Amino acid sequence: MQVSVTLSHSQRFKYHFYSMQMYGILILCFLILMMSVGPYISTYHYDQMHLAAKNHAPSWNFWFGTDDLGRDIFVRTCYGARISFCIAIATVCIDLFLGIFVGSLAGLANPKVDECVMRLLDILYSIPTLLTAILLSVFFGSGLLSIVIAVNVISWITMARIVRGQILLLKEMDFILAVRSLGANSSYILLKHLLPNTWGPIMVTLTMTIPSAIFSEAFLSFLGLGIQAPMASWGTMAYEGLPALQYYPWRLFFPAAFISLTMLSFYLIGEGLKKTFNSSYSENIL
Amino acid sequence: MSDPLLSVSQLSLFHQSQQQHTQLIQEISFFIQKQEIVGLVGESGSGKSLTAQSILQLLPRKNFKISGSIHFEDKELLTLSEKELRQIRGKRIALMSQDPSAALNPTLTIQTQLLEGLCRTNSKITKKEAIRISTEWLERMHVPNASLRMRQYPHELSGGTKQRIALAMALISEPALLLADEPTTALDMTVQAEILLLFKELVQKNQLSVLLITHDLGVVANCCDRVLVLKAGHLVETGTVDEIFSTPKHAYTQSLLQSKRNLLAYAN
Repeated sequence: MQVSVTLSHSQRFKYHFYSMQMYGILILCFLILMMSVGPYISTYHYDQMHLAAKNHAPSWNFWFGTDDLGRDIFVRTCYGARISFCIAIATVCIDLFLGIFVGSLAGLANPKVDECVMRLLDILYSIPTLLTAILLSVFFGSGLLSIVIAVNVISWITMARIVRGQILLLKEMDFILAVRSLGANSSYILLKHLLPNTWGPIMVTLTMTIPSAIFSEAFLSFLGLGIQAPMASWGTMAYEGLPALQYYPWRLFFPAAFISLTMLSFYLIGEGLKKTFNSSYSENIL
Repeated sequence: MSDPLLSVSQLSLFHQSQQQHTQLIQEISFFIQKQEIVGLVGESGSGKSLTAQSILQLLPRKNFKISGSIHFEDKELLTLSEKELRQIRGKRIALMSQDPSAALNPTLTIQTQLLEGLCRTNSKITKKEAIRISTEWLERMHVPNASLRMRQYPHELSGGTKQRIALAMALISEPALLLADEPTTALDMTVQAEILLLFKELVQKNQLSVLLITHDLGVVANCCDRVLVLKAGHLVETGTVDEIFSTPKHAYTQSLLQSKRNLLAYAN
């Protein structure tokens, strides 16, 4: 009897896993493959100009066409993907370290410290990204560094809030009382018992903050505050392609399509994870 | 008579919030001898679980204030620091909490959770040895398929099994005193009888003392030496099982026994 219960649980897990996450993971794998090997299989360089082939339509020579300086859009899209995933990795690191650290500190500390920390986060949260980006580009100059900082000044706050909420909820539960009655100290309880139970919401939150960070980068670059020429970013490429939309639509289509694909892949993974975690969690602790 | 293992005197528990100040336990005093099973009975909300948790001071200190004295093995528990208390929790006094399904961490296997308590008390133990001891304990708790259970997660187990595992977790570090908060509520009658028998056995062999919190007078009659009757935070009556069952003095105890009899009569 026990065996059948175990089976049905893993079957349910597989069902949700395949139906949603699989597509997201496939798209993501495709994007990662493209950005890692794309520039090597193409014979062009991202800032190499072919003035004879300006605004060339997609063809065998130029798979995604060329822009108004005759640069190959395929290679530029690959480099744009690299920038986007750089931002994604930075966001993940900051979210995981700063977000979880501050969140668990606020969740475990006494209510006064908690209140202070959370109000500080509220103040930080109220700073507009655009303003931060403009100020940072004044101080550090436009580029990858100021974009990473501008995007991540507030992105980790959502994570801190989620982790704090989960910890406030979990620390009142009986198994924590049981561990405390075994004589465990706070840091042990946090690392071994509280955080593992928070992984579900953490993963789901990550799949939401990553695309929003990628999108913020694209948006800031589109406004000219981010990555500067000749470096290629999806946002910059979309900005350059916009005026030519009527005659050379591929210049806008490819970067925009890749932004959408990335958003979609993370959304699918996040939705799938949410369902997987909910189905295995709902009967047991919630 | 030798010194009691645990003696609680004038224990009061207050809950304070911004609006009000409530006294939850009203100056109760009792003691537990070595190798004794003491029953703590009373209706729900009378402060049974709070008494157990205040002995180990597991209640949040900012809201709950404890006064009185709790004397355990030559130590005054109320004056100990948090660090010293951690040395006592689990190792000398173990608590088994009420709800078996919430008492186990859903993300860890049974094995990890059992080893946790064991490695805490005995840091030199090898993993293999620890696993062997834990499996043995599960078998003693009449958990079927103990070695398979070790590798499973709490959600894969039934309520009764979880309760037995929670009990094994509390007993595995061989404490001197077990505060068992309704240890047999989720178990069926046969298993309940087995667990109570096991309590008696441990009391004889391992020098264990038990504070058995329950509202089941049958359990009390079956295995306790003495009984404490709690009502609305007051200790209304104490005595040996025979005294309480044959000549209950307090009106509340009488009505408690009467209602049990009424239920039995109704069933018959």
